[in-house]
Amino acid sequence: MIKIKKRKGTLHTLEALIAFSIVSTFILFVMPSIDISPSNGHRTNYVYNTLETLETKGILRAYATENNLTGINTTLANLLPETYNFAVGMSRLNATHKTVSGNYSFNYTTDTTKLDYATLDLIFDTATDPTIYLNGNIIYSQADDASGVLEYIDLTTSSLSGENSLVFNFTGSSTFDYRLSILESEDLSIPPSQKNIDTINYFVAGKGSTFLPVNVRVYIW
Amino acid sequence: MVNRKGQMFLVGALILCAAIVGAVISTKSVYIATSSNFADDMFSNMEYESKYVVNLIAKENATSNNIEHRMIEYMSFLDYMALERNIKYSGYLIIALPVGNDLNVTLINYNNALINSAEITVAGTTKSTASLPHKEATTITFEDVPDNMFLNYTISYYDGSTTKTNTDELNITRRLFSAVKIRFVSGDNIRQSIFFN
Repeated sequence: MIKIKKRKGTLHTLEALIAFSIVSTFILFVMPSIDISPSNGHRTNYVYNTLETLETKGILRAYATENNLTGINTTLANLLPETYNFAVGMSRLNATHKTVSGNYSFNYTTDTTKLDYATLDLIFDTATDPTIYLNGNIIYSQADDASGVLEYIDLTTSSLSGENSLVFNFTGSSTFDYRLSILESEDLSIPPSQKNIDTINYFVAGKGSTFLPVNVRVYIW
Repeated sequence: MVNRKGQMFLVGALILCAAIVGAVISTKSVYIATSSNFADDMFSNMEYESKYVVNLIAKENATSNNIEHRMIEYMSFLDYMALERNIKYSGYLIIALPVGNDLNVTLINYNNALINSAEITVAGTTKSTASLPHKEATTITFEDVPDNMFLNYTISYYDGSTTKTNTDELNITRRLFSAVKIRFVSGDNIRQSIFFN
């Protein structure tokens, strides 16, 4: 009789421990992974519509082409509900192109802390022995006739913060086109590193007769 | 009566877990979910801005050389921005620029594919170009065009699986004009449109 009671006690203890384990496991592992936060869909639509309205009034385009992130931030702070947490950022394209004859050189400026890409497209109309230097280092060369050749050179990792020097040398006469594109991005403030941050983009190509593509970004959480 | 204390512990544990979940859920506000279709927003934004940029480039410098360079710069920028959102962007443009009595028609290929052939007919005169690679442009000049004319184009390219052909006939006047095709691929969703300015 005593042996039967001991076994029953052991079983009750075991069952109590199992119950405790179930609850503890649920609280420690299952509950934190349940994300019941509300959908951001309605907020992203609201922000996009706000940006679109600002663009139709010319406000967003003006701020974007003037690189005025503070203006965008302040305007949105006045228009968006106070419950919206947001931060703003921007990517701007600085692009130049030219048709050149003979040996040629020019400088361009970058900030490598903001640089997304710097690329050089070349279209050699007539060219012999083209050699291209970036900051004194050869980044491209081809022997003999390169007429009709199209080349793409990625300058992103080779560019320095501040001024960079590009030099084009040829043998004899030459005519070529180049296209230099520099994309830089910055955020006015960094959104917190957490899940459930949505990003709304709005593009403008420039203003008036100024070609200056800009991508305005709004992060919401 | 059979002693069921142990089973009551287990049942009690399950009920407690359910009560915790219910308490947590009830403390959160419930929003009516609105689907966030950022790809649609981006597409309509690019569609609108593509009309704006053609006019802007012509105001900056109304030459076909400037149009060729600026549109490739612009489409490369859009491509990079779209890729940040895992969207594959492609397209091509036909831009007509009047130069005196002539009409310069520029074709810009950003289709991520070779344009095998392009045939353009303006006021009954047909000119063609063969083999225009991705990220390149070409300009064809039509001399002495009338003020009102028909412009026909046929663009043929291989999209990786089949050869596609786009063709259209447009009634235009001798002015800055553009026909733009944009295509977005975002996951399983594909959006594309051809629009005219």
